[in-house]
Amino acid sequence: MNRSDLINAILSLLAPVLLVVAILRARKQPLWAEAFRRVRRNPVAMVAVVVLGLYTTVAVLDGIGWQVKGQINSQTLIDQAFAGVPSESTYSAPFAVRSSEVRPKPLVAPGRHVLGTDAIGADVLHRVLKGIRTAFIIGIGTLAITAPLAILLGLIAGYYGKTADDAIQYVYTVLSSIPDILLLIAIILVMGKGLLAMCVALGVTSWVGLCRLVRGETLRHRDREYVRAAKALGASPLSIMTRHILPNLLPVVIISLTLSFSGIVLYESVLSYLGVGLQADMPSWGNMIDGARAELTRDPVVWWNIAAAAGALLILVLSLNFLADALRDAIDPRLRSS
Amino acid sequence: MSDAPILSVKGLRKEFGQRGGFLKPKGLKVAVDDVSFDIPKGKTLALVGESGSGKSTVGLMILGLLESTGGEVLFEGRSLASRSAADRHRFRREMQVVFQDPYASLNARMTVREAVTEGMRIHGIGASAAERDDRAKRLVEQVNLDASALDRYPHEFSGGQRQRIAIARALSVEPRFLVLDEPTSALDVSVQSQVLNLLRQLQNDFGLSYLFVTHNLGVVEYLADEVCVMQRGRIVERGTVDEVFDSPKQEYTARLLGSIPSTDPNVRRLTG
Amino acid sequence: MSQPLLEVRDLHTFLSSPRGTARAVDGVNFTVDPGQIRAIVGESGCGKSMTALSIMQLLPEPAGYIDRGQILFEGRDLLDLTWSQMGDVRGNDIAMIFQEPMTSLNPTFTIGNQVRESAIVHGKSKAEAQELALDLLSRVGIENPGATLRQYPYELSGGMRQRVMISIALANRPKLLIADEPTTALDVTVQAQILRLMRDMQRDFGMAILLITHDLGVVAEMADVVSVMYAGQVVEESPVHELFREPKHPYTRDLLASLPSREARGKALRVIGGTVPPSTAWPKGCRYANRCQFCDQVPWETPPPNNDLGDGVRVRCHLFDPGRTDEGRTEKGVPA
Repeated sequence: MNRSDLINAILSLLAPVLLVVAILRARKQPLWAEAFRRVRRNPVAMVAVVVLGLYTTVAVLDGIGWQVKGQINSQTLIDQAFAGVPSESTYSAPFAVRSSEVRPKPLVAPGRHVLGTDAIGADVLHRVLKGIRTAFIIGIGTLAITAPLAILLGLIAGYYGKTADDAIQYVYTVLSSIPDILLLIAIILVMGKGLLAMCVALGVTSWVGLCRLVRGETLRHRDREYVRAAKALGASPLSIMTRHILPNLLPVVIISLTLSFSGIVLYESVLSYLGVGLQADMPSWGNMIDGARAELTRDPVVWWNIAAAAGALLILVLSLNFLADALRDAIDPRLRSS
Repeated sequence: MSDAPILSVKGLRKEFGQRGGFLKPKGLKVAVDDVSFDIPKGKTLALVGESGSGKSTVGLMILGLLESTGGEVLFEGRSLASRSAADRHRFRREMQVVFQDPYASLNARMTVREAVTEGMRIHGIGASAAERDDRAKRLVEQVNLDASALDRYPHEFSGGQRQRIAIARALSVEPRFLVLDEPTSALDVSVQSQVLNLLRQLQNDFGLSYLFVTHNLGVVEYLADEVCVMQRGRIVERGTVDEVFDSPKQEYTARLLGSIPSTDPNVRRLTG
Repeated sequence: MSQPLLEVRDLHTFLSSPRGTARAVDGVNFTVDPGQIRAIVGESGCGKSMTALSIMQLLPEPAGYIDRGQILFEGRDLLDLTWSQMGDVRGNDIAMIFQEPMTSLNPTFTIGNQVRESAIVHGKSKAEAQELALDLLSRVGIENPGATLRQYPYELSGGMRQRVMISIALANRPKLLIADEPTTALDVTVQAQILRLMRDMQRDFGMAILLITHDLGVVAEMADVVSVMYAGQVVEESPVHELFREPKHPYTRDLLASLPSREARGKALRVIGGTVPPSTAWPKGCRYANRCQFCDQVPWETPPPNNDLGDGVRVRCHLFDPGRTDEGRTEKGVPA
């Protein structure tokens, strides 16, 4: 395993471990335990959780890889699962035995390509699965930039009010009056296409919603009696914002982040379709959908590429939305009444 | 000298107005108008009034949670206003507060232990976490709760128990003066007596001084040494409980006292 | 002996919740005679509000439901009525006012709209309803009825809003008014005015009132007869003078003794130790046993009988069980 493989592996394993630890710690708090219990009783939500679990597993497995004889790139565990399904030379339909051309030719691995093959003969299912990791990296990367910024500014605006609030509101109102697409394209073109540019661009355009939410919730909590009591004890503003208000904001923030994640993943496809997405060699659903422009007008028609990518995207976004809905129901007013 | 009142309020004033030059001064609302009183050490002053009288606002200004528009607050003769931030921070230890709503005054996401030790951490009371824990245990026991309460969350307790936790939190910094803003109004009658007994006992044991803000005249009769009656931001009558309740001088006070339902059906004050 | 206006028999109202079924009202009986004021007094969680909501069949759905019992109004069981028949009774024969006038009034409609609505729904014309509205508002002591009718709820004070609520309730001259904590949210001087108003209305209209409250002072001022509720049951029932002169049930006595007053200055108030048991799991025997100072003198593991002591006095307590042989009791059964 070379150094970059090792880093990838560690980071990939770190993320789910952190998530599990966070959930276990949250369960000790009765409010979260109650929320989880409610989610468990919701069949749609549980299906969503299972689906997201599968996606996460694939993304993690796709991060653990090492050098293999005969291959230039490191082979991840997902790659190795497809070792027995060699590439073809061109398109072929799902489960086909011959290629999809004007004069079909027999395939190297007939009937073994579950979702068919693409323009260079690569297995579509393989590409779709590798796209999961890309989507997750973009989603988490963007949120890692957005969330701290939005939360910090939202807390400051809500807590201090007056000039700080005015300034922050000015910034985000101006920002949100620029159409997102234009801003996204502009940033990516300036920074050059790539993963980092995409995360920055998406981050800049998506922090406003969360900031407004945090600001609103901070305003609501700022004059509550428990905050007054903390001030009376002598707590500093920083302490009040982080120890008192922030933990009370977490439920709504988490719901918002879940929904943002799905929005960000969707946006990647849009940007790729517009030609400002990731580099062509990176496995992403957006690239697959972008390629469909030519494929759908081809003779014979190639539909399986876009169907697979769009399908995988749809399932991910749906699951995230169902989970967010369930969390919102589980967390919000009924808990407050207890 | 130990004769000096522990808290003095002189000419306190609070205006709520709007910024901007377009509004005429008529847009100003005076919530508290020229309020002055002294609280002797170890005694209870009750601030009585109906909603809109400004009594809660006075309490908040004394605690420094609301800025006053005029007047001054003196703690043991020293003014709170002209102090450095560090001094004002020290004052926080001396004065604490218990609010009305036991459900809103505790952070739902902090355990009782965290709530009670927060003040200690801020003011450096207790040399180690273990010592603070020990103090926390004694505090909850002082308010007649079991030590097992420390690891639980507020919503596992009843209203009266939460109020006692709030009292323990207030005591955690060893204050000498407490502002109690309607501490029993949101509680059931049978629970009120627990809290009132506790407050009386704490005052006896630790020589605490109280500013009791309330509209409940029965509580005033029971606990207060002196009473100030507020109406629309001003003090309209003051005196000892006996003076004010037996011979009210102002018409408003008489009307207020005459509005209390009696607990004797033979003496129907209100409905005849 | 005339027929009582309202007779509640063996009412059981339950609430289903994830933690189990809460037996909020667990076997409640009482009557209200025409023109009489009955107070139901108890603390939070005793079931008094649920009792009132059961009579009006305004329980929170789907969790709340009446398990069994009868609610006889002028001899007719309200629980047998169809939804539209009950709608005729509601607002017409029986009216209800609530604790929070702000949330009981619709903030998007004028006062006039809401006062007239009650009359119009029960058959009056718009002109008649307007006349009635003006008359009612002036009766409840509102100075400028015409102007007030054009205002919105947020423009009025709490006391004014509660007066409006009362006038809406009275629009159709109901025979019974159910008032659920009508003055709890009001200042003490306003409370006095509203109570006086209710008394006047009762006299003028010959209306009966079922008054739900936790305030013993209000009970003393207003009630003719009192039912004390604890843990979903009526533990003491008595004419008001008798209740205050000689409270019998230990809960009633503890409640009265824990009120702060000048007489108690410098002394510890009586504290009722312990807490109310959870409504999802009422104890099998006496429900007050864990807090009662007399519990070791009686067989508290068995449910206490509801003893009829005559003259309208009933006490649900072992101490007053005539079948019990014990010393230390005065003639009427009050422990020495």
